[in-house]
Amino acid sequence: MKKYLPALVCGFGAGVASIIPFLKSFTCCLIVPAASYFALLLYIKSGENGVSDRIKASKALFLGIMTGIFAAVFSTCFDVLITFLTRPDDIKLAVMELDKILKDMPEAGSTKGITDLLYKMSEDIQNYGFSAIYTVSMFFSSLIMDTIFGIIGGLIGMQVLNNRQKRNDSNNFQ
Amino acid sequence: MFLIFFTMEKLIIRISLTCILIIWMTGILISFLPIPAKIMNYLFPMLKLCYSHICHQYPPKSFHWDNVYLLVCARCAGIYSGALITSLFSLILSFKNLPPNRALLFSVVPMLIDVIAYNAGLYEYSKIIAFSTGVLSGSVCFLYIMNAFENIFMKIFKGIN
Repeated sequence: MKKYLPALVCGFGAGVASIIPFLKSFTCCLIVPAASYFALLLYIKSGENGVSDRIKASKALFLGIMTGIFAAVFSTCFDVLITFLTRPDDIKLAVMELDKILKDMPEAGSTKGITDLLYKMSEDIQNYGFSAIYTVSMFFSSLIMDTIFGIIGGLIGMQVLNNRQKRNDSNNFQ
Repeated sequence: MFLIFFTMEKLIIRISLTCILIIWMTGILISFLPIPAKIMNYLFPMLKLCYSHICHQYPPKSFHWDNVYLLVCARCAGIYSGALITSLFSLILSFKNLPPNRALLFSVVPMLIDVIAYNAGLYEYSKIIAFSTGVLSGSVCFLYIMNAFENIFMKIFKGIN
């Protein structure tokens, strides 16, 4: 469990941050990579990594992936909860806008199949506050994207922290 | 930095990363591609949902042509374009040494200044400024990602050999 703790904590933080509207528009794609970077920092602070040891790529990848997974799980949970409580109109507006976009496309044809599905999803949310289609699609799409960006954050964080460690080592040597 | 000879393994890794970025950019530009409607009707909402996790997709902040918008905002488009441009250069330039951490910080600072400045109302949002600052940070971030993947896969290749 201890090895998952940095990723769990930072993934939870990323999940919370991703549903705050102002923060989402401010930072968009930086939330999960930043969470992965902080997960690496927590991992170093926990002492699991040796004091002067570099972070291994496998560890950075593992923490990045786990941070992304936890971020996806928590952000989906919070999103579903908020949707259940508030039953927002913006999902219906987004579906109508999507329908319009599909019809405006250069190769536009009948959009009946997919838009029926999306309108049913928005109706379920308006009536019951919950839609299985919405939940499943949100979860799997955020799982893919957050894992990818978690890996990116983990790898960049590893490089940054190892560069810093290398500089500290050369300063100590002098 | 400008040594153009590097190992076949590094070239394979860089080509792979470039292909991944091309696929990523294709997803962003999907609205403009001549894809049959039957496929587009399912592909477009799926991609829009995926990219919505990493971008607010707010239309006034996105590039558009004839009322057809990109799937990400101008800033995000800049970040990924910068990464793609650097990946294409990496196929002919060696980029032997990773830039110092300061370079990463300096590449992100203009973007942060732009976000803070227009949110504070100092000027109106400009897609060109957002795109340019995104290109700068995306270019530098890609070098770190490329270096990390090279380190990982070179170890794997050495293990196989």
